[in-house]
Amino acid sequence: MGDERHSAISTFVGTGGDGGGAEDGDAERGDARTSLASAGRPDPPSWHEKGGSGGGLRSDTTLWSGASEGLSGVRSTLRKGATELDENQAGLRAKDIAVTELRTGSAQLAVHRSWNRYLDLIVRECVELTGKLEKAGSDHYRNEQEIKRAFRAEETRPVGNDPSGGHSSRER
Amino acid sequence: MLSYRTLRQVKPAEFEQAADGYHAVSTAARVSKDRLAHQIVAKTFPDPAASSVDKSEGLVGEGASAARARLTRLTDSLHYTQVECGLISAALNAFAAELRAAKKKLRTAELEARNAGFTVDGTDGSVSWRSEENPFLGQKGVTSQDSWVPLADPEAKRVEAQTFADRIGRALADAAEADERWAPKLRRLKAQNDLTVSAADWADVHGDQGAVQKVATPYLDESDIPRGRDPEDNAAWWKGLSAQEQADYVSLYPASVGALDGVPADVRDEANRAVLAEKKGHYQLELASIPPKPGLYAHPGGSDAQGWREQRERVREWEEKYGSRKDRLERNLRGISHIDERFAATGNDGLPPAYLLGFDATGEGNGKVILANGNPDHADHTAVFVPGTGTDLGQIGGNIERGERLWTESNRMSPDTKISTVLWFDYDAPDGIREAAQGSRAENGGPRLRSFLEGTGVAHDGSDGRTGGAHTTVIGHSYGSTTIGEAAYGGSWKDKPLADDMLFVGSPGVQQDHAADLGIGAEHVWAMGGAWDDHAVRLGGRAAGHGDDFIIPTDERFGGNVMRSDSPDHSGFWNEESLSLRNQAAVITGRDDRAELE
Repeated sequence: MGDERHSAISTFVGTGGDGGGAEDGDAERGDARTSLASAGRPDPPSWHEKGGSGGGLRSDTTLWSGASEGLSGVRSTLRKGATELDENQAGLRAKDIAVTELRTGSAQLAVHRSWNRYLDLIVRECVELTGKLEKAGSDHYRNEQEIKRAFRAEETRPVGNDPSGGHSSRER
Repeated sequence: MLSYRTLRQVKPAEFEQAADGYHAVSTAARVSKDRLAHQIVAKTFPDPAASSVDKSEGLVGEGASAARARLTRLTDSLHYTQVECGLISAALNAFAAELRAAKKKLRTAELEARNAGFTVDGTDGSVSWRSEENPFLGQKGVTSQDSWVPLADPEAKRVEAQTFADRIGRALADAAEADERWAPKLRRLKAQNDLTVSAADWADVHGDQGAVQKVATPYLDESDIPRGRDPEDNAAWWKGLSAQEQADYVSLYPASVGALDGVPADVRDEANRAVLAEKKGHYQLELASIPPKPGLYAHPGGSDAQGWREQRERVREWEEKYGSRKDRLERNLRGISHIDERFAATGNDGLPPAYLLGFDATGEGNGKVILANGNPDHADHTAVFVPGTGTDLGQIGGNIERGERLWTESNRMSPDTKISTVLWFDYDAPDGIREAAQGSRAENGGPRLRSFLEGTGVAHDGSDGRTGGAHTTVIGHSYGSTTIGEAAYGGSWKDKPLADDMLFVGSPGVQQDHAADLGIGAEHVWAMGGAWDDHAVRLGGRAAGHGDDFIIPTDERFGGNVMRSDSPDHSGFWNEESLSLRNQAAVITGRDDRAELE
């Protein structure tokens, strides 16, 4: 059991085991180091009821929390992208001539609004999942079934009731 | 019609700046998708469907599976964002370019009009002149709206003014036409409003791409993309583009860019993944639109002869109309799902990210799949595996797995080096041994394989300090080895050697009668044979003349290194923990000393 825990942690940290796997600048070891720091908590009394992998609870906690932090990083990357989208709309706002006089300008405005909305939807989904991963990592859920129910429950909902973007004539 | 004032006032740079914003979103989505898939999902939630997953790594169980499913859905949303926003960026750049061109036309006409002594009105662009006959009458002005109907006494000045006015009018018309053309294309690119990217959504992306391609030619012409050229030419073309052009070419023409040997692997991967997702959506939709096959009986228990005959006729009609199309679509989707499974398997047992360097459902007849484990541009050791008879997109999973095993075994043998193993399937594989008796198939695959291998050398960043790129081994299984022989043979003495090492597994012949004729020195040629039906393949190949003078690589006379093998048959060379697999890994990692010879 101890061996499994060790290999689970070292796999997540990614030490050596994947040779050529950590490439192209997408290795983010910071998340793992932070998670390991939080792995020093004592086992909560409810861990005996937990189903799932044969590995120790401590490694599970680390993995859930690590995923939560990783996703939190993804969220901030997306937020930055959304900000750049907004900051690059000079001269293309509703009252500008590019919009009032050019069809492409007014089309862009509609497109921009739709993507603002969609990125917001994705970011909210990230927030929901980050929270649930964190909860799973801090034993908020009593058992496997509860975790499953939590992740099956879709709390993030689209705003407005038009499901499709530029293809509204298509049924979904 | 666009007004003169509007064209003078609009700033193309504003559209280009907006394009930069969408490009930033596309990049953020790509980076996020990769991080989510490779770092978070792969390392935390191993794929429950993968047979080889080590259960002690990562989280398993129903809760973990549910989490994985949600995160995978998010990954798809990010991929969709990446591709669509890339397309929007390209569309806006293209429109801005056309707007610029129209403004330039306008400015040039105005300038020349002024130089010729005319006045161009700042409000409506009308071109006026002082009448020479009646200087006290004030200026007369014309625009392109004015008539050319000859007047009683057409003044020369008026004629000239009209010419300039028409040029101004044409610039306005160009801008208006571009605006009319681009607006509806751009509107298609609005984001959807839910968290699932369905088959229909991907099919729409495919359609959007096609729609934008149709009107993007003034900006980026598909025919400017090199076709049938050397990898060095392809690399030079790519390097000559600006970063914006590179991004826009990938967004607009992913299939063409993804097929270019010599272009960086991560670019090809991005392009081909977009193609894969779009095609998958397309095929799924098409399959769903095929009506179900009629049963043999119109109603339960109905069996009168007349009804049965009619029903049989309906079945026959359905077969004729839909049968082969349905088979083809199902086969395409099976192959795509094998590739998707490989993407999902990243992180399992340390498997590195996969790079899709080539994909086409048709290819040379059996499909085209070029799939790397680990980035070949940065590798110390690269192995290119060419599969043999019977290879087809629909059953590509087995060969994908062989590539994975070669990676894992090589990495185990040489963990401090960077390894890339590439499945290369881009030739018309014979369906069986008998069909393989016609040598012509290898004649088609050889040059393409050579191009791919040259491309890996060209694209290699040389970060390991070697001048020639990675240490490259090309491995041919069965008829794949014949293709390699053809590729080696097809090069002239001026060409660089095809690879550093060649390995022939279960080979029916490589078109040469001696290892030394392959251009890399006999000591770098390796061969392995198996028992049972592998004998049949090799001897059949010998008899069919795939070897030169009926000599095949496992013959001592061939002069290569014949390695020991424990393969029980023609397909067992990649069994886990096998001697055959270890021997291949030894060659791949340059550990010749560890290759066990016969």
